[in-house]
Amino acid sequence: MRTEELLRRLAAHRDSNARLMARARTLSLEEVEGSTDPEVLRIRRMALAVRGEVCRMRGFIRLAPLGDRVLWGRISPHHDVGFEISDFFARRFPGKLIVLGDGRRSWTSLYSDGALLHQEGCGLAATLAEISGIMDLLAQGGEEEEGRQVSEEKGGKDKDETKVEPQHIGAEEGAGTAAADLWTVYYQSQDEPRKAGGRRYGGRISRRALRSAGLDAEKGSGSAKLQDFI
Amino acid sequence: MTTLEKMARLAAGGSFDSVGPASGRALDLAKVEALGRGTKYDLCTSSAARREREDDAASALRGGLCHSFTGSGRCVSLFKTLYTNACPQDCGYCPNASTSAKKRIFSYSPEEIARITLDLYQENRIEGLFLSSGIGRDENETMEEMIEAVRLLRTAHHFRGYVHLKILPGSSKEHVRQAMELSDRVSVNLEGPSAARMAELCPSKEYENDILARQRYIRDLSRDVALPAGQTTQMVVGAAGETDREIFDRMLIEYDVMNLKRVYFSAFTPLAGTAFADRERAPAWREHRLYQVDWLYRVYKLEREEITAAFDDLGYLPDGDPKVAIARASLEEPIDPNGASFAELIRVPGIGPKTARRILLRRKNGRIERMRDLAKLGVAPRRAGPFLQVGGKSATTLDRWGF
Repeated sequence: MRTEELLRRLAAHRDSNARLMARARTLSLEEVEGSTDPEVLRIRRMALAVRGEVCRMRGFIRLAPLGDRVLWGRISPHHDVGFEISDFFARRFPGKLIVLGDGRRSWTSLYSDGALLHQEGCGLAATLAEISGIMDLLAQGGEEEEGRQVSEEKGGKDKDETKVEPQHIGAEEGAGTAAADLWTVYYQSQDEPRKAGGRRYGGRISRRALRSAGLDAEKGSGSAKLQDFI
Repeated sequence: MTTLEKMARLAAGGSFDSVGPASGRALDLAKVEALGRGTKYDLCTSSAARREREDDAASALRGGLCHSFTGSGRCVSLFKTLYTNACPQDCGYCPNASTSAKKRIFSYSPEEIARITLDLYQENRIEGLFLSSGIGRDENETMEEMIEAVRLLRTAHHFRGYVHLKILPGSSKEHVRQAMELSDRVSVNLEGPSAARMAELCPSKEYENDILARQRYIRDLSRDVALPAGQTTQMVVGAAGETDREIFDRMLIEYDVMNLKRVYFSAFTPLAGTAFADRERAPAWREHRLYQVDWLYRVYKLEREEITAAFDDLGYLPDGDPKVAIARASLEEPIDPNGASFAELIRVPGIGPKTARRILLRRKNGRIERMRDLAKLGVAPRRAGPFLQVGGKSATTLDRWGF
C-alpha cells in the first residue's frame, strides 16, 4: 500500500486519531511493509480494514433505479467511506445521480462533463424525496417553457417516473421485480453443490454485508425453484 | 460541496450516455435458467483488465470485483450464459451435445443478451458478460450473433464493463478479429491436453484445426488488436483418463508458446443423459492441486524441472500441497531468513512473494531472531517452521521429511 493511500485509508477509519495519523506520516513505504512494531502493525491493519470495506461495499451493494436519472442503494459503512463508494458508481454511470445511505446518512455523487460533484445528506429517504421534488419542479418548469416538445426532447421522460413514494424507499432491493427474479434464477443456475465445503458462501460474505445490501437471492440460496417464477 | 439542486439539474439536463433505461419486457426465465446452467462448468474471472487510460474514471471500469458467491464458494461476477444450447458436436461430458438425452433447445437474441447484461450491470449484480455457446446451426452464424450482442452493448448502449467472449471451434479468422476488438478477453476451450485425449472426449472436434489453429489466430492477432485481459483456455480434468502430468505439460505450452494469460481446470462431473454419465467423477481436489501447480509456475516462477518433483511416478499429483513436496525435494537444509535470497524464501511453504518481500525489507532494520517476528510479517509458522532456521533453531518435525 502506498503512503498516500495509507494516510487516506487511516483517516477514514472510525478509530483513527491525531496521534496515529502523525505516526503514519513519518513512516516510509518500507517501514509500513516490513515493520513488526505493534503500532505500525495496527496502522497497517486499520488501513487494510478500510480498504476491505470499500471493496466489499463496491461488490455487494445493489442499486435500484428511480426514474431514469437516479440510482440508489443502501449502505451502512463502519468507516468514513460513503463518498468513495458513491463516487465510484458515479464514474461508472456518468450522468446519473448516485444516492447511497441509510436512515441517518446519505452520500450523493454525480459525474458530469469530467467533473465529480457530491453532497452529503441526512438520510436516504430524505435525500431521495428532495431529489424527487427537484426533478418534479424541473419537469414542470420545462413543460411550461417548452410546451409539449419537452417530453420528446428529453427522451419522453415522464415526471411520474422519478416520483418517490414511501414504498420505493422502504422496498428491499426491488424484491419481486423482473430484474430480481431474473437474478435469482440465474444465480441458482450457477450453484454447484458438489463443490460445497471449504470456503463456503458464509465465509465470503458476512451476515452484515448480506443484510446491509439486502441480497435476497443469496440469503435464500437453494430455497426458491424456477417454478416459483413461472 | 455542491447543492443537491444543481446536481439534479445537471443530471436531468445531461446527455444520457450510460446504460439505457430498463425494459419492462418479460423474459422467459426457463431460458435464463437453462442457458445459465449450460455454463456452470465454464470457469472465468472478471480480471482487472482495462481498455482505457488509467485515471480515476477508468478505475471505476476495471473488473475484479466479486458481487456474490454461490453456496459452493464460487465467485459470481459476470452474467455467464450460453447463447444457444443447440449443438451438433458429440462431446461425451456435455449435456448440450447431440448425443445427450433430448433436451429443450433455447436461444437468445443479441438484443436479449444486451438487455439482461445492462439490467444486471446497472443494479451492480455483475461486472460484465461471459458469453459462450453451443455451435447452433453453424459456428460462424452463431459467432456472428454473439458478436452482434457485444457490439450492441458496446456501441448502442456505450457499455464499458467487462466482456469475455468464447471463440467457437472452427470460427473464421475474421470473426475472431471482430470478437477481439469488442472484448476484454477471448478464449477457446482446449478440453483435453492432446489430440488423442480430444478424440476420446469429443470425436467430432479436430484438435489441431478447430482448437489450436484458433488459439494461434488470437495470439497472432493480439499483436495488432488490443485484448486487455488476454487469451485463456480451459481443460476438463479426469474425463478421458489423462494424467496430471499430461495436463501440466499442455499448460506449459499454452503459457510459453500460445502466450495465454490463464489456464482453467474443471474437474469432470458425470451428468445424467450424457455419453459419460456412467464414468467416475474426478475428485474436486485434483482441480485444486492443478491450480496450485499453475500458481507455482505462473506467479512463483518455479522451473518446470522443480515442479515435476510434485508428481508421482504415474504422473499424478497427490492430494497434498505441491509446494511442500517440492520443498522436501529441493531444500536439503533449513534456510536462514536473515541470509536467504528472494528466490529461496518463496520456495519455503508458508511464504509467498508478498511475505518474502516483507522479510527482505525487515532485514534492513536488523536480524530476525524469533519465529514470532516472521509470523507478524505474514509467514505461516506451522508450515514454514520445518524449513526455516531462526535464531539458530529449526522446528524440524516428521512432517519435514514427509512421514
